[in-house]
Amino acid sequence: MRLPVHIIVIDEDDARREENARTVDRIGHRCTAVDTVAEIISRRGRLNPDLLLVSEAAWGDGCREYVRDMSSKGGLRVLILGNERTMGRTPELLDQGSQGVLMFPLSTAELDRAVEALMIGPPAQVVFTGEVSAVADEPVEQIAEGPKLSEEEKDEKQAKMREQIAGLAGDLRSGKARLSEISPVAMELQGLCASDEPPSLGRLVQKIEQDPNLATSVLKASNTAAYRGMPAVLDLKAAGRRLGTRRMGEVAQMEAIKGAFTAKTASGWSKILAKMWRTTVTTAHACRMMADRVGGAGRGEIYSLALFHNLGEILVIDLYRKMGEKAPRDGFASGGLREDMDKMHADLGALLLRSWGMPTSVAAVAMAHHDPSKLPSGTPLTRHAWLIGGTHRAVVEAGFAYKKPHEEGPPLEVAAAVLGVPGDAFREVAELSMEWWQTGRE
Amino acid sequence: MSKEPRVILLADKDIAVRRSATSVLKATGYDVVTATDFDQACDAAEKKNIDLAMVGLKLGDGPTGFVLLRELKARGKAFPVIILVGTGESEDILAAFRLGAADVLLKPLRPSELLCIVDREMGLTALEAASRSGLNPSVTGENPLSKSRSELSPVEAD
Repeated sequence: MRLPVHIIVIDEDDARREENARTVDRIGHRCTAVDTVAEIISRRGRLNPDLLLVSEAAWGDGCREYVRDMSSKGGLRVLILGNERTMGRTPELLDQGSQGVLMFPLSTAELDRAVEALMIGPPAQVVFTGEVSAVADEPVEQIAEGPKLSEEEKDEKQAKMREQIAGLAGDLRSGKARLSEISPVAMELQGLCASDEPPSLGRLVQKIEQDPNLATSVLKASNTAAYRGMPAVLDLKAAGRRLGTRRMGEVAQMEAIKGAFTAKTASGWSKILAKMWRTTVTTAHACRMMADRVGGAGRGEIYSLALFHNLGEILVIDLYRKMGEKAPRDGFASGGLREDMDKMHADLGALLLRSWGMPTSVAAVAMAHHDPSKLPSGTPLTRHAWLIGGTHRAVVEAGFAYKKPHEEGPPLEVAAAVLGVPGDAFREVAELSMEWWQTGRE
Repeated sequence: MSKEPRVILLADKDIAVRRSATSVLKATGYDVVTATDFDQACDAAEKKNIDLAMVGLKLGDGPTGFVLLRELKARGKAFPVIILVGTGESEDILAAFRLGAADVLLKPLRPSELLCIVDREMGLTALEAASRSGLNPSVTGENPLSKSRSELSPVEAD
């Protein structure tokens, strides 16, 4: 890893300057933020930047000349930060002495890549095509199935909902909020089943027995149609011997969180919750199959991480339900509901897992499963996120969607390349897992 | 043979954080070296035999905890670094992992969580050291989560 370099952010806009400085800080480089180049000139000798991150306006306001003067000393790199129009001026800006053009808002990953590339060897001209957050540009749509609202009413309603979600996030952080429908045993089961070695039958039974509803569900799973003709299983130890401890642990975890997917009030939410449950369980099953194919460490916990990674969406649904919003009649989230689920679920899910006492590193998988490139490359943690994100996407694409439109997770080809599996591996496990769901799940 | 206490570098601007964490860690047998800014922390990391570092994001008026984390990794310091964040902002947490933090703790620190994470990281460090020296390590009474965590620990390989 490269030693920290000194980056000076030059931007006349206070909010943008602060945000850019924060992004520089998050990639672990030293940052000084100033509003004009004059401030650097006045402190000559005291600020020794390695790189300037300059707004387009500041570039035209004396910064270009400063860089030209400094060029004789060598080593100073410049990145211009602008918008789409600035990108169109890239050749001109490169000619003027900059080394690259980035677009605002700036992502940590993009800036990190740019700095790494620029700090290797002498200054070179490198063009970075920035990406604008697609979500940020999407218009706020109407709340699912709600009455026709004016633009102002829609904005007001959406703002109110965002406020509620922010409040929920705060409650999760402070440990005041939880998903009461989830058995408290779920977290302990996750710990027990996280190892690559199957859990001991005795400890597993002891844990499951703490929750009579859970015990009943596991017994039910051991007596499904798949075991027709075999003697009925009446105790958990026998269930463990029939299912195997690994599978029994999975069934128990599945049942422990099932309550969260069950609408207790007859408000019509059961349709979408049932779809989400189907997708979650099928994804977790497919993730386990995929983990077996990929191999490597941490396979034991893939199943539980896959089960838990989208619980943030349940929190959003729960909030909509409590706020008296109408459920989507067709069981597909659209409009404002879909937008809030998309935007908020990863962070909320991670906060929920943290509130259960799971390590932040585990919560990070939930947080970054849509864009695992946000995590350090090449680690088991990141591989989990690619595997879960890719598998979930494949399951949704294969037909188990619950949003309109439903597109999420990393591109399958990229995820497959990261994990070193054939390009169609995700689709294969998704189809096998959907077949498993449709044929009775045992 | 008496064992040397394991040394923790605690770098944070906030005196209340330094005091409370130090008292909890010392009461459990760890030795704690404190630092209030970037330079003090770098100095301690060079001069002392540090087993683990806990780094707050705010370190005086100078470079932040993220810069210190990058610096320690770039200098080849192999001890785990836990980042202490105040807001729990998701971008801060992800940034910490990107830079190779072993874990992130949210302030205010809860003694039970603090000890759980520190013990786990110390256990892993001992395990790695023992396996490097060819000893057969015996780690007992482990939280099942710690086993999975060891596999999840992000390691910067550059």
